[in-house]
Amino acid sequence: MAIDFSKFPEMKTFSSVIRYSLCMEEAVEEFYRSAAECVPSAAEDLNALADVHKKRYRLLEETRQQKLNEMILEPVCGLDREAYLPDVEITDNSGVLDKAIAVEESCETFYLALTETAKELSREASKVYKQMAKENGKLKNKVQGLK
Amino acid sequence: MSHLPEVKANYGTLKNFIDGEWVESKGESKDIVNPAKNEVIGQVPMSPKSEIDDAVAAAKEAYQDWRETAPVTRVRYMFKLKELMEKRFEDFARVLVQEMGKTIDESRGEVRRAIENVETASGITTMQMGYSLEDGAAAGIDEEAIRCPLGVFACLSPYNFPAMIPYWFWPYAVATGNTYVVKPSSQVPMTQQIMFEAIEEAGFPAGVINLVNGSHELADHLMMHPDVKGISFVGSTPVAHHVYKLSAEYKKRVQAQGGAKNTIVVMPDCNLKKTVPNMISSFFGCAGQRCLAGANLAIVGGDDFYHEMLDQFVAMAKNLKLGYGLDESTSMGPLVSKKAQQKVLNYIEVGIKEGAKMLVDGRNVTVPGYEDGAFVGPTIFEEVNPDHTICKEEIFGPVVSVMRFKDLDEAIEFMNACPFGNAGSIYTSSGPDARKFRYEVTSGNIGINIGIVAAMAYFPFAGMNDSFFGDLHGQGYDAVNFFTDRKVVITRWL
Repeated sequence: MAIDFSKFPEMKTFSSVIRYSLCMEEAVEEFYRSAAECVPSAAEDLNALADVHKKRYRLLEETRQQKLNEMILEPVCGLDREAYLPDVEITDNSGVLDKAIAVEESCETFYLALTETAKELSREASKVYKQMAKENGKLKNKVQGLK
Repeated sequence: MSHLPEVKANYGTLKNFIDGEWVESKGESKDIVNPAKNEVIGQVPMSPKSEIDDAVAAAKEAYQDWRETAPVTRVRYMFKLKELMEKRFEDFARVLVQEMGKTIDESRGEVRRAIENVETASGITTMQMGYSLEDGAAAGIDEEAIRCPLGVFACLSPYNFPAMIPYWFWPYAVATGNTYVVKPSSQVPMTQQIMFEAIEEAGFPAGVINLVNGSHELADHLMMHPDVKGISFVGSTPVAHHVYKLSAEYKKRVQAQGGAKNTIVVMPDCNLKKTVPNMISSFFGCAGQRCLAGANLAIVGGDDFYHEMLDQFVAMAKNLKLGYGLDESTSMGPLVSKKAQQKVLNYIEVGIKEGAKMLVDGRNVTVPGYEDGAFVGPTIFEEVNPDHTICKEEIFGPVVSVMRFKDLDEAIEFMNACPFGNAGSIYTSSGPDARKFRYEVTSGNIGINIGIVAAMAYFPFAGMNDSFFGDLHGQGYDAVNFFTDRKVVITRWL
């Protein structure tokens, strides 16, 4: 599934950053579902990875609802939406696992950047992003193990 | 980027919630307008006084049973309500955007604060405890103080925080065993309407909590009502003073939060990179319609610092994205109404006429797709002096008056000459300066490197001077004390 990230909001507010993250997680989940169809031998593992990203979607929704503080809704600066776009389009079945590794790396880079940006905005949200980035590293290793 | 879906395009004519039922009002209705679109989204009834009488009568009738309900049982309704509010969180936030205009971030933050008050009031089994002293009166004679509820209370809430402000009061009133009537602002009544749907679902006994929509005439009627024990109010200073006087005349407890003109002091040793974004949210958040919003910017220091600081502030203000609050990338929404927009524009004209120098002009802003909205862009004046009207009066819009002071003493002297006393903030890395500011400034809410000093639910929402009339504030233990009386019991066993 190709995602048109240009339709996403500019990342200027807490909500628009979360919206971007939600779209990213949704796209990555869908990517793993498609990947599972492309690589039947690893289908179970790839679907499990899709489930992880689905769970992260819910975590982000909770973060949006529970970790924002209206006292410190400062403008968000320095997050370029173009810089973190994961390539989730599957064009070649044989390269799916390499692409999955690249997708996890993109997400990891994004959440690490977000961890820094969000520190002043919501430290609790920042911790969530840090945890997600760390998880992306682990997921990348899992995919590597499937190769 | 298209905006988030609205919960409904039109909400029809709102009802009152009296004695556990939704009741159609016999009063005439007035339009509720989405200020970003200048579009009618519902009607609010101007309920006649008899409907307030019905609500107070229902609350009075419910009081005795509710008082006799154990606190541990009362808070179970609060737990249930909290769960329902979490479920409907998005609906509440989006309706709030629709009727009030603030951004979805600000609305979600506001609904969060309402929930936090329900969470805090859920601790009433501890908070309402009295105290006792064995042999307190004399050897063999014990003494104790019990916190008792009083009866029917009511709140009159303003337009700028339609979800949160009633929650500064009613959860504590009801959790401590009182019964309640909420009268929301007639400009923004929808948020409470749908929040009351959750209250209904939580299953509070009929009459314990009631909602009546209407005008300020209803407010006066509540203040004079013989069966109402106390009034909580938030609004402008002249009205707060009126509420304080009238309620007191009718022997009521009263807490009346008034207006503000908050100054933010920036010292040359501040962390500029972190200070400017935080200040931006204070001056322009909720389009300046917070009673805790920064209004006057007092810069201390030499020319180099002054210009560096102001350049960064102006650049960031100009970069704010105006728009409909349901677009998640919007940084600043419209004012609450065309009338409020005109009032702010008038103040800007006064600022120009009185000789302040305009650095950023928020007049005549165009927001694509929302050309008829009540928008005013960030507006910054410099060379403002303490005699300027824009420096003295509460504008309640995104207008900043920049002033220079030679040192902190001079800035504090300026602040303390202001009749208001709602909030004041300082940005500095100096501990002694921060302490001096905290110690000397006569404002109820003090910020050290934070521009919006909004007390959490478990602290009182403070205010001093003409910003507050009364002694016990909303939220936390202050609210518990406001809604209870201390009965002292001395016991001797013979």
